[in-house]
Amino acid sequence: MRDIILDRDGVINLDSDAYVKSVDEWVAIDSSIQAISQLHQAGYRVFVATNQSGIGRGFFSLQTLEAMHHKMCHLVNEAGGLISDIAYCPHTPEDNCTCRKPKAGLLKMLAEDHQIDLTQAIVIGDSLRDLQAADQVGATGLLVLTGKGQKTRQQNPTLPYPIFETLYDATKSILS
Amino acid sequence: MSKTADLLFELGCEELPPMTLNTLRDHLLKGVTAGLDEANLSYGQCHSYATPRRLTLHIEALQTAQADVVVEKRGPAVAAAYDKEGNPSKAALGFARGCGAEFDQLGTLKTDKGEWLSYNKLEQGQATSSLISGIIETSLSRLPIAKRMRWGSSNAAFVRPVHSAVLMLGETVINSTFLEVTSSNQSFGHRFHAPDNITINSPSSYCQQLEEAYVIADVEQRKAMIKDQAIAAATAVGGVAHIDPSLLDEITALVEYPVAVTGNFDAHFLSLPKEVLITTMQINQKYFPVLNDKGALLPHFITISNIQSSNPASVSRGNERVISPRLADAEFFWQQDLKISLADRVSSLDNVVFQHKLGSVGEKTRRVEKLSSTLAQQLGFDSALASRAALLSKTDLVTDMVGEFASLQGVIGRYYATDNGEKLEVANALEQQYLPKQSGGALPTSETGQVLALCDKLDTLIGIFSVGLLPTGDKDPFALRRAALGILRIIIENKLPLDLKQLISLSCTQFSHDFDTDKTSELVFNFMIDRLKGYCLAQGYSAEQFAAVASVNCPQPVDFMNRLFAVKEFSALDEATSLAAANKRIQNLLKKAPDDVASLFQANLLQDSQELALHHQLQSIESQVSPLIEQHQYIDALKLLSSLKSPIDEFFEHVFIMADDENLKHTRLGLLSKIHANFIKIANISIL
Repeated sequence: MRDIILDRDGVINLDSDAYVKSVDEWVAIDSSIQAISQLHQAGYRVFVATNQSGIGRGFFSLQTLEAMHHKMCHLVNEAGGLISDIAYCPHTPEDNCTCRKPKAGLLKMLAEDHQIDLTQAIVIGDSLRDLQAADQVGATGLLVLTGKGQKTRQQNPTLPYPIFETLYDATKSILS
Repeated sequence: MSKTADLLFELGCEELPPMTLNTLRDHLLKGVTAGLDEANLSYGQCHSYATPRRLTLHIEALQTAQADVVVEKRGPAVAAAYDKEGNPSKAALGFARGCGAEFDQLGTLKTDKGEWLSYNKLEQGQATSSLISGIIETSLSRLPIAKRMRWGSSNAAFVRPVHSAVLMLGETVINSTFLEVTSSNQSFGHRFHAPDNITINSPSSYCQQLEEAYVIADVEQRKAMIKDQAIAAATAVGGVAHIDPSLLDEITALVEYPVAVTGNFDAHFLSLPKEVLITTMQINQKYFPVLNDKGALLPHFITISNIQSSNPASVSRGNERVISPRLADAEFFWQQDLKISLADRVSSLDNVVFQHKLGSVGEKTRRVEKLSSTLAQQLGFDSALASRAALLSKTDLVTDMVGEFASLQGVIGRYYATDNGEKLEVANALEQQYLPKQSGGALPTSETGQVLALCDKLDTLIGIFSVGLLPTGDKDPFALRRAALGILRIIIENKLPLDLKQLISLSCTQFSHDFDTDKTSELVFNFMIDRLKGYCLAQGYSAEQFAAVASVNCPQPVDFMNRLFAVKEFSALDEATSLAAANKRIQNLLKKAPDDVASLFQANLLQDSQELALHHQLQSIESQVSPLIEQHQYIDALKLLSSLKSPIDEFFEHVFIMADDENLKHTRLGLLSKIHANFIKIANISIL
């Protein structure tokens, strides 16, 4: 089984520096929904692993987060795709938890629940910490230039990861 | 079969520009049919009409709705379609919702990667009536209009103000808006004969209904009517209508209901040059001249009026009143101009600027005079006639007649020269210097005309290049492309033994201003080779054949064409492909060999039977090939050389060229180099 673990903000939906705090603020990148559907159609399992410190900071409630994820799954399902599971970290950096990326807790949680061989998995994100988490567990990291991606590339000009414009482009490359 | 109906679209405008009317008509149709194709709507025959006041499309048997299509949508994997209790999962229900279907309507689809939920969704085709206005609007917005105008307080922009629009599918009006005008079934008739609205019954009755309202919608029909009427009117006065095709097109685009009216002018004007009278009638007045059966002008003309007059005689008198003063002006110019001979006008050319860095037309004349004299001598033509013609070549530019009728430069020169008692050869050359006027146009026929036409063009070409005003893209204000092609055609089609490089350097020496002669010569030469390529490709030669000849030094256009013809003949031979490949291989081998490898050849070192055979064959034909090439018998030379095919093939197959013994290696390479040298004297066959 081949598995793909996606970051959420800036990869699947448009990111905001002021946090995505409500269902209305959660706006999908259309081509990403298509991409997830294509990955599923091609036999991949698609997971999401996302830092949501906005909860720990009190910007929005767990219910709101669930509603956002409902919206995301709904769109993916309508396009004929499937997100197999979503793992999120509600903590702030100060909590010093084990799950917040760049730590690998979220990825390990998903691996345990779904028997994912992380060394064979692909992790796609728009920031360095997504890829650092992937490195810790031996997964393959891909950078996309949506969300914070451009900035990430500028600040780290010599990243050893393959780079794609969007999740859709990354998908095309994975499937070809 | 799906249902179909005829479509009619008419855009009613103020008088459209006559020169672009047909273009607008054709592009409108092209745009709409492209839109229909894209929307997968089928249609039958298409008609497009245009008058000065309307653009119309009639499309027969247009499908009234797009066909329905079944689209297969794929959903989540079957494994993920049910929860632990065996009920449809959220993902499956979500997919069904996305398809607008219930879960139990979903099917499954097996692929090599697994089993998936799927749904065959019927996408209903849209009605043509809801698509067509968008298609037409797109086509209207893409019409090739250089500058769109606005009118009134409206925001719409089109080539001319738009007043009405008809849009019907069958007998039904489709409500829409084009350029802020609402569509209906209301058209309109002729501006004066039937100015009222016309209710169009159906697309197929459109032409008939308009014709009843004095509008001939079809351009071709109107054109034929004008032609027939003009011919009939000319016959009635015992002559033949002189119908210039572009004038016929222009008049067709100016009238909705053509009526020919004959007029007359005073017969004493017939003493003026025919070209002056014809230009006045055609260009200034849009009249058709009338000739007799010998091609001489008769004092009549035919006008095409846009109205059926109740008093044609007064229309005719009006037309005559307009043309008389124009002819009287021309007559005045003619008489005034004849008072000063062309020879006496030469000095005044010093006051006319040719190009500010290149000086006056007088200076150009002196350059062309020297060049013509030299060239005529070189060609064995009469150089006194050539320099006389060159001296007078531009003098008609300072006459009043050419001032008034600029398009008659050269022609007027010929008339005045004849009147001044210049030799016929000189007079004709004054007109022929401007030939060929368009691509494929007639060439100068007389020797003096050819020399003058060549030298005039050459001087302009080199002069303008020397001051750096090279033609770029579609900008060629001095018509240098035409000049270059004209030079080539005059040389090639008259088989003049001239060398482009020598011509260019000869012309360069005539200029007194400071410029980089080498650079200019190279630019001009390459520019001419580019034109020559276009000329050759248009004659059916291939780009490879052209390149094969162009890559050997061959500056004589006539020689070039002989070689090209031979290469084309050679390409058709069975041996051609193999010999081309062999030449290519030899070229590659020689790249690594010393330049003088041919001189390292030692016949006594040859040992293998194949190389001996090849050398023998080469020796036996070489003595015949050289004289053939010298006599430009390229076809025969190439045919002889093609006998090398089998020995070369054998050689390449059996002989090891890169022998360890340096001398043997150089001998073998030298042999190949000798063969190559023979081919390259004609063309670079390896490019074929």
